[in-house]
Amino acid sequence: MILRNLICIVALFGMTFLVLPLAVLVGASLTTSEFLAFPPQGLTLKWYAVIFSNPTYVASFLTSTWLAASATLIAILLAVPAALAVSRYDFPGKGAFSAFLLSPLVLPHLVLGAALLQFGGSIGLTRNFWALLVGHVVIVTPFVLRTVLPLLSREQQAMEEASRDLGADGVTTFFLVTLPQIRSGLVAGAIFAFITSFINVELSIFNTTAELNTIPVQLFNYVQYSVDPSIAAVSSATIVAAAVAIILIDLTVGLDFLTTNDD
Amino acid sequence: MALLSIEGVSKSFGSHQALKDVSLNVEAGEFVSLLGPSGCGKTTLLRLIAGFLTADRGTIRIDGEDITNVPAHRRPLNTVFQNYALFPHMSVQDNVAYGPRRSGAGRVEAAERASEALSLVGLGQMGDRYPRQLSGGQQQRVALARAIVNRPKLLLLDEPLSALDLQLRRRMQVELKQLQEKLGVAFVFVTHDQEEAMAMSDRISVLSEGRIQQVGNGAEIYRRPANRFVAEFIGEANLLSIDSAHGFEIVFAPADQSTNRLGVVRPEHVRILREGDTAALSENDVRITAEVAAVASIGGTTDIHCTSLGYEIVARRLGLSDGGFKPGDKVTLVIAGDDIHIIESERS
Repeated sequence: MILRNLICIVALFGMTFLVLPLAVLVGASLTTSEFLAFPPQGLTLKWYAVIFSNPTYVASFLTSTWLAASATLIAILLAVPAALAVSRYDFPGKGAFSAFLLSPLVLPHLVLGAALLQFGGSIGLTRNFWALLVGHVVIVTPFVLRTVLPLLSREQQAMEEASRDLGADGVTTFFLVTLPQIRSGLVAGAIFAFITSFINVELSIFNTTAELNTIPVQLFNYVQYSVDPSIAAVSSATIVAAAVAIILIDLTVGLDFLTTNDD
Repeated sequence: MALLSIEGVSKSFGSHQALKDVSLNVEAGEFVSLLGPSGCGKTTLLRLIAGFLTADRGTIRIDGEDITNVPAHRRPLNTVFQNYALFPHMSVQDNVAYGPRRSGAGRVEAAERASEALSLVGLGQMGDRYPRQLSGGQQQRVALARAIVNRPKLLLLDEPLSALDLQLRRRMQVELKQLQEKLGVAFVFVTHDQEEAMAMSDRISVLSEGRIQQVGNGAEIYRRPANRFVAEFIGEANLLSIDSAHGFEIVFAPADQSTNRLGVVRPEHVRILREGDTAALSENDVRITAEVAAVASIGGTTDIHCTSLGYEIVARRLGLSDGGFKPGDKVTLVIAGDDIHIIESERS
């Protein structure tokens, strides 16, 4: 009983520690003062008006959303076949191949960004949306791969065999048996991938321009020269967008799989 | 013409040769078991028939048609998998209707056929449930219904009962056999359990180290094992080197002296008499003087372990009575000459 209470207290403390900065951020975005202040001095939405009337912010927000969505989609299209190949087949260099696919997880993004810029420069792929996209696909694919791979178990393979045995060809089997089984991993991986892409500064910074900017890079540039409540408003807007996305996913496909285990 | 005909099939995984020149025929409506210890190649053979593996050499025919290189989904057979491999995201009904749907049946027709198959295995009311809501035995039945719903002529079963407890297993053995006879479908049944194979099969194919050691009905394999492996794997056997054999005049050689022939004697064929008790001997009987080493009652039978010529020879008596034999007793073991099955012993 004492242990239980202790765990509750520690958990509450941890939650508070994690959530408090967000509360501070949202609070500060509502201040009427011209500088960041918490608790907010008076309540106003004027900083939101400031950012939403600023076409640069809106454009960056859209760029980031597009970028994250495209990178996630491409990551899924790359990671699922890769995961199937790694889990189902033995081929020379399989170990090296899977290590290579996961390596962006451990490589500093700054290094990756610099390398991509150099390489992109030599083939004329720099400072545009596609250059950004290539980089983001590289860093987010491992997330999808990591979450899908564990679901491609032996049992899963036996189910695919059962499907083929019952007369389904490879494509039918994939859509009717494999995909529903890896769906939870796909959703989890896609969430991680989207967020990772959406908040990335280090990689994006090499290929962004004044006209083409992502929201985190925009913020990063802005806070170097001035700190006012508009950045808190941008951050809060991002948090709200993320919360809405998570709730939508929970309502449609469900997030139970993140906390419970079927087996 | 055999329903299933396997000719000279070999399969290797890397440097490991899993099957070596295997040939086997299965007739329509026949129940054939592939029996052997783990790693003997029985599951590999089943997967080759199902089409999940491709043979390195040899041909597999069904109804005379060469299917060696036909992909699994176009083979006219179905499989019951070891751990059932039910689709967890589909209801029981949808699991069973999966086969008919893939073979072109409409939604309504597939549902009807699924219901029919489910009632055939005694699960008529379970269609709306999901596999995880069922017991192991029920899941087993769903797997069976799913495999027979398309009415294949040949059903492959990969140790389908191994996950069930003993009682349920016995019941399922009987039910499975009845279903097989009712549907007239040929079964190729993989098992490592010799009692299961004996109880159910028309013929048993004993495998070891990638080769078929012997094919025959249960009685043939038990009474006349083709070699030492089969003799030891099926039932229990006393194996005695034979020095000379003229008709029923058989002389056994001591254990440390290996000869080129082995006598296989089942424990229940060894009679045990007190020394000097010659009352019930016939001229075909082979006699061995021995000493009782241990007596062990195991349920319905009592085993008396005796030593003679360096062998441990087991004599089995029905019932719990040890007949008054105690360790150290001098006894005569009597074996009827035609209960001694002689095999060539492979020298190592």
